[in-house]
Amino acid sequence: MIRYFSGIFMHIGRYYTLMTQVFSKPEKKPIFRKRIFEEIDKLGVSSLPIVIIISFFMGAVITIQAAFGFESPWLPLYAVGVATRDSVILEFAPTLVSLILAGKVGSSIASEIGTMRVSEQIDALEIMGVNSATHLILPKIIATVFINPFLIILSMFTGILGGLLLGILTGVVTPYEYLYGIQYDFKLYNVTYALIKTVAFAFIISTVASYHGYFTKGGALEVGRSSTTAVVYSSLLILLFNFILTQLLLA
Amino acid sequence: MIEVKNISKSFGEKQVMKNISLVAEQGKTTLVIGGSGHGKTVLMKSIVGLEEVDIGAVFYDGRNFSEMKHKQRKAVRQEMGMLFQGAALFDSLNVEENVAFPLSMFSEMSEEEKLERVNFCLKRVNLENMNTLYPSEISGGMKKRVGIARAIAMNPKYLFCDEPNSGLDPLTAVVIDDLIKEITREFNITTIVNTHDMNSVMNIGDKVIFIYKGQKWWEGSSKGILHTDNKEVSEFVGTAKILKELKK
Repeated sequence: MIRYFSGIFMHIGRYYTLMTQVFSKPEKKPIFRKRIFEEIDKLGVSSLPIVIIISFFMGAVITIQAAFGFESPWLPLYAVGVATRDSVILEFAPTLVSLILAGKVGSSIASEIGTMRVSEQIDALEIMGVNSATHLILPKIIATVFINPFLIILSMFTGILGGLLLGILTGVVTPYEYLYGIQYDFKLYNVTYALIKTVAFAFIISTVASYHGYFTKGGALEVGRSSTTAVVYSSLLILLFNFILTQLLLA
Repeated sequence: MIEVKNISKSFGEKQVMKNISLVAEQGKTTLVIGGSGHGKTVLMKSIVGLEEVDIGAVFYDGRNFSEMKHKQRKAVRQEMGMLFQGAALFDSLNVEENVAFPLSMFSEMSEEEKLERVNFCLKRVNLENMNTLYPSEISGGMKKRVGIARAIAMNPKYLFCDEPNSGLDPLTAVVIDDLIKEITREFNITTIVNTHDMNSVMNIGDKVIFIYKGQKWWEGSSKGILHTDNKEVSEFVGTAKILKELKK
């Protein structure tokens, strides 16, 4: 038990030390800027298809489930639109999509940095006098914190659109009722809340994955292990911070 | 000149280096030899600062590297070039970008000047017209040569090579050895090479240091190593000695 807790404190300390290294002045700004755009493309733009597909069907399923649950003469049909909108905006888009991105983006970051570590590419950077932590990790943090909110906004839009299209197709809701429902008592703060969560989750995904990749030791097997551990820990932290932020922002 | 003074290093309770001192002279190649797991790589990593030593110090032309702060170390590191065991080329960059990388990071050269320097370095290691290939598209020997080109791109004062011949066929290994030897003399570099290849010892070693169980066990010339009475050294070079006799 003592060993387990000392292990946790060791990771927290090492994570903090790494972050102090990461948030340093980059060597050359033009190269750094180029790296940010590369990471935006690699981590953000390449995630578009999976975000769109998942969000579309997620919205559709929520609509069908809401319609199934609201089969009561006391509830108006537009409540299906309200339920879909709020579920997608408040929880499904920011949290579920972030969990999926933790799997896709997190494993990609951890395995990329882990491979660079075991193949001595990080040592090569250090020998040249490059701050490897800033050079490799900071662009990934900036890229995910910048692009993930756009992905989540897209996810919200696609989820609500999926609910509309498949709701009409399956006949569980009419276009008029659904469109009326998604506009009914709309609170912009809900979107702000979702975006705040997204930024926090993006930071968790990029830093936790980078941490696990950066301290990989061994070979290919350990790179795979780091990648898995990164996904597990970032997912757990997302769930924990989802609770904390919800309590802070909505309670 | 690089001076290593009484350095020791432990990982937990295991001492991997014990009181090692050595001097590597400018324009010469110092070879560090020894069996696997005896501390050669830790020694090299300690010299370049990738591992912190517990006791002792490393001096670069009289500058105490071990006591330097991050910024000062960074300046010294820009005078270093290193060839890693697996070449450690950046997978996402092509040959030209790999060699140009230190120039892009630390020089104020124009794109034309950079390209000229890259092509010069690649020509020096006999790799021309390969600028656009990626590390995954070239052979192990070529990777090592690109690694050397990258290491000399910034005109280093100190060159470190960790197992430059590992995984290479004998002919390519000789090519790499010759390159290291020529570059050291041509650019008057202080070179330290980690190896367990006895052909390298005979070909390029101006000075040879034998590491055994984390300690400096023997020091001498490449010729002297064939006539030493030291039991461990004799055992290590045994095979090469027989080959030498056969050649005679």
